[in-house]
Amino acid sequence: MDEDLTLIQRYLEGDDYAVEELVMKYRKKIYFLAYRMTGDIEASKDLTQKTFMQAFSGIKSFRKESGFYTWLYQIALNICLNHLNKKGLHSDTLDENHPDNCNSALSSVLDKEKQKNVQESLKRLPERQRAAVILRAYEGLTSKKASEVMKCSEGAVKAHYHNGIKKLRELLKEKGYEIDS
Amino acid sequence: MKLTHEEIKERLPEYFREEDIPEEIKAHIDSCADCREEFLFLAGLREAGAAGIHENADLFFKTLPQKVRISLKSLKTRRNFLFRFASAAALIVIIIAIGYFHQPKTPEETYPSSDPFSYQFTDLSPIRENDVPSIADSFEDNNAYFSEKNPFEFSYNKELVSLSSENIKSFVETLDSKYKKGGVS
Repeated sequence: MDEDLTLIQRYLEGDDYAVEELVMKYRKKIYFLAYRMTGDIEASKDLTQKTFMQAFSGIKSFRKESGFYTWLYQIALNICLNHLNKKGLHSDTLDENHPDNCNSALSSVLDKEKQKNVQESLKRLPERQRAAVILRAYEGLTSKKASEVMKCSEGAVKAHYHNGIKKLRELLKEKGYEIDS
Repeated sequence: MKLTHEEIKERLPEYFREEDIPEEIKAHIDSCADCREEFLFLAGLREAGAAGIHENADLFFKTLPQKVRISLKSLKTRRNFLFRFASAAALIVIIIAIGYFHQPKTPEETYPSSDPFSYQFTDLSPIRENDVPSIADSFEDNNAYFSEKNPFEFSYNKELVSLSSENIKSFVETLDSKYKKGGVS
């Protein structure tokens, strides 16, 4: 946390390379969040870059009340939700023709199948439930941190998360896919 | 501190690897089917969700930090240019506005209070309609001074002619200086 603040301070003092260090630290987390929210690899890359650009160009509005990564997640989540709303992509399926989703290696076919099922089911969840599941199950955020990112109460996050997980189980079951078995 | 089943279940998403789980929670997971199932479900979800995400994204991850830095720099430059342009435009507008509202004043406007004959100090209230003919009469008398027929008889010219050149010069200088100061007192 302190390291983040030091890097932010360095950037504010004119050291542009401090940005690179922060991007290196959080690029994968933000990218995964974007991918899980959208299910679109190319869009996730754009959204990740957009998140960092928006965060650093408005870094002066970061009040240090929450951690930098919480603030960054907040921005990323808003950007993803805006992207989904703009494109009307609430319940799209995965882009199956994308090279990333078509692995020729036989050994990874099952993994791909799993990923596709999970991602498709995830995308069928309502946005808030999806966000709560991603932030909690994939990012390992506590309910409190997730509530800061989602700008809602802790209770609301808990409810969204439990309903989301419940629905996810049902959706995966419908596909005949028992993830914990 | 003894944690309840609900508290432990609530914390399960925060643990990614078994070795990260505190002993108390690990013991509960071993003995509680509900929590064990939840933990395995989350682990499976993560494992399935992680497959293939890294593929073809290596170049993106590698170049992203530089891309962000360079884009931010050009954004900053653009913003600075816009800021300077807006500042210059604002300054020009201010200068024009000052020039428009503070034009140089004529001597009458500059020293209105020092001119005892300024209309500001002239009380016109006693003048009535009946006074107008008398003013007109006095105009006629004045005209007599400039009569071409009798140029020296009743005119100021005659008086001026009678003055010496030094007196005339001093008279003109006095008039000039008085005028510049706002009028003859």
